[in-house]
Amino acid sequence: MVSYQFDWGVLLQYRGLLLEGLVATVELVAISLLVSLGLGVLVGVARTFLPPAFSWIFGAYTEFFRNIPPIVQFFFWYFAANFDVLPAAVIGLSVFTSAYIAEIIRSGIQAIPRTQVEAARSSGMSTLQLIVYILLPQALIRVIPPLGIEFINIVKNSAIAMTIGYTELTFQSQEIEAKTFRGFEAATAVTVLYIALAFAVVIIMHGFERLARLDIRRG
Amino acid sequence: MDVILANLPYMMRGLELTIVLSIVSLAGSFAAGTFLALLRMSPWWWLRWPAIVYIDVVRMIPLIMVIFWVFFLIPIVTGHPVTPIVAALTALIGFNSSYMAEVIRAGIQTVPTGLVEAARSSGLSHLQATARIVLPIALKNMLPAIVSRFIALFMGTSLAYIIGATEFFRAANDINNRVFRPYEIYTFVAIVYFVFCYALSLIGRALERRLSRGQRHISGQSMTSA
Repeated sequence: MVSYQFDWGVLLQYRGLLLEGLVATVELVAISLLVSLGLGVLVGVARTFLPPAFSWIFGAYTEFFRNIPPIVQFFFWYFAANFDVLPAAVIGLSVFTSAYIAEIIRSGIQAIPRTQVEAARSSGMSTLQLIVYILLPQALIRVIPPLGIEFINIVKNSAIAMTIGYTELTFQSQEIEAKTFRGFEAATAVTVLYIALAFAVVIIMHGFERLARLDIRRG
Repeated sequence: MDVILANLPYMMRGLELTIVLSIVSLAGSFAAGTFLALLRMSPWWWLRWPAIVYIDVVRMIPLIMVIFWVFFLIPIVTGHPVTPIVAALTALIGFNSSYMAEVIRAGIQTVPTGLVEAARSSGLSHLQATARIVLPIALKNMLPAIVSRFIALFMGTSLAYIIGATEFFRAANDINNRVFRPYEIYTFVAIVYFVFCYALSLIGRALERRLSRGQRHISGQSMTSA
């Protein structure tokens, strides 16, 4: 072990950069979370309910975007498609994640007993009503745990946005390293913040799940 | 298209490194993951708890952060600088072994306890029963999930770009920095990654179909995310 003098003071000194990074990460994560959930639900529902002549397009979307590394997608939207940094990061992160969410939603819908579809049909509901009022709410409650994993993945994959120059947490840890040669301390602080963010997602998802289950029990 | 053809040899060398990195880190994280899974299932809390903490904490950290960690941490601990390739391998193995440990633990739990009891009562020791009966059966059941982890690793190698390992993505970037034709180059890169990962996912699905004929196994679906 080489003697390394820890200097945790740099964290206090550069807390402005860390805070800026945290805000940027939370911003990117929050937007991407909403966009990927919306896209994922749309693609998942379209793939499940459209006739084969159309549904294959959404199957292709899912297979295509989840099999390309996020960093490649980020670079494509930023350098080739010439989007600004934040839009490029949001599109890259959301499209990649929505491919996984679409599959989760699809399996959630398929897990609902067919008798419910028949019951809704025989009480005169249209397909759209059936999806919006009967199938989607139940599917969403069922898939809260796997959705939570995808949301944690959004937090983790948001770090890749640093490669196109988005000044989020990981980027700022490199900034502090460049300014002070204190990579160890900066990386520790940022790692702890990521773990805290992931925990926050876990706690929020648990909260949603409990609320949803209470709602069901109340009828 | 000419840009791609003219620079194909350089990019193919990068692709070779990508393939080597993914295969070596799959083997490494399988070994480390088995070890972690066995610790995780140990009856002694002082073996179990460190494994649980490692598995759960590492899965909350971005891979890119893990790569930086290894790049900073190894030189501080050993006093020697580390090459990008070694750092990338260490990070990929350290990161992926936490996922592998959960795959392997789930795989072990698919093995019926009756089988273990039969092995034990025919005179095999606990270790023999684990190595010869439980692990081979578990391995078969977790193949689809392992294929999914391989896909995640294959995509993950692209992040070795940031510490300067010339794998496929970095090789393509080098060329883009020289000729600046981002549209062609990144489209080509995306297609190459897609072809590899999609082919792997088809293999995983075929394995899953074969296994699902009346057998318990862990789905690859839940294990795909990076």
